[in-house]
Amino acid sequence: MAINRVPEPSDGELMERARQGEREAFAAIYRRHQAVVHRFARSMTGSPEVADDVVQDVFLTLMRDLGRYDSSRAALSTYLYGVARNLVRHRLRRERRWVELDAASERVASGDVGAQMVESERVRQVRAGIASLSVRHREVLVLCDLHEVSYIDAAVALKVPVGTVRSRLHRARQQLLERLRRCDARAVMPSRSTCLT
Amino acid sequence: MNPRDDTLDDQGLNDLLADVARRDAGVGAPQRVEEAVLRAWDARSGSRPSRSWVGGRAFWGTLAAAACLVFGFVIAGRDTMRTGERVEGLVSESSSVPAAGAVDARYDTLTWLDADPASLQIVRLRVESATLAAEGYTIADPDGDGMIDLEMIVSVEGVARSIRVDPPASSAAQ
Repeated sequence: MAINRVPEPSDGELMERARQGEREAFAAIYRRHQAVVHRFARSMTGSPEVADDVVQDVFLTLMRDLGRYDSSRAALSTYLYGVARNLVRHRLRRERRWVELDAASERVASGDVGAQMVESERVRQVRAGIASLSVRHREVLVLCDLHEVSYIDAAVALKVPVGTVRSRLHRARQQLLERLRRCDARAVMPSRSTCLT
Repeated sequence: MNPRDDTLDDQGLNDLLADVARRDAGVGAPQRVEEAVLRAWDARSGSRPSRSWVGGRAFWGTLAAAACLVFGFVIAGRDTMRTGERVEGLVSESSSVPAAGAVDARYDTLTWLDADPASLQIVRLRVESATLAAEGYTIADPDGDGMIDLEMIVSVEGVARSIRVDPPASSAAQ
């Protein structure tokens, strides 16, 4: 498909300029990649606030490691996924948050992910199903199925073999399908108020 | 294959995931995060980068302190059972009662309440991750076995107030 595009500097060019101290180059890198990092962190943690923190920490890490990033080893986006993944895992380990039980229904109704969005019940079920997966299954599903990252890039970001990405993705999709099917089955049973059980 | 399995197939899942991805597209970090990052850049240019945290720091600090305080109140008196022991083994204990809402086939109760508590208590449960997800709790399943060890704060009236994931180290030690 032919698209008229205004030539933009590549990530490599921006990184080189940022290494030389050009503030606008680093700002351009941030603006180009922050949304993807934020979506990843939010999908992984279920919290926009934590995702904000992760975005900041990812780019502070990049700022610190400007000289160490090697574009021949991985695309910048892949590198940022890897950093974000490590930070998310650290946060999930460190912050075992107490969750108020009374607030649960309100939290789901308003949506931790995108408070302004009016989401269908089905989409809410999908988000809940993703959130219930183990971290190792969730991260590969988020990368490959939500962000459409290739298996190879996901393997680099997650520091696992490509075969492991494939098997984890297969397992994650199986688990998610199974849980959503339970929702479908329970939907015709009025005595049950919940699904995914 | 179970007859109900035809309600959603692989392609259907792809469509749902694409819908979720489409809804998430265009949502990013708020402007204040960019401002904080670029302030760090400016500070780095002058001296060392300053690390200005954004969002929820005070909240989490307060929450952590509160959790520690509550834990301190109850830690001495709690009766912790080994992970995996069944509820049935505890039913005959006359001095203990279950937490409100905890009696369910989808739960294992790993700790039981005092009959006459003087303060908040922490109860340990093992719950199906799918059950939590259905109720709207975005809590990860650490080992992928479908069950999550939780700690639950229960008020003196026996009402469940809050939950959090039981630390893996604690579970592993048992």
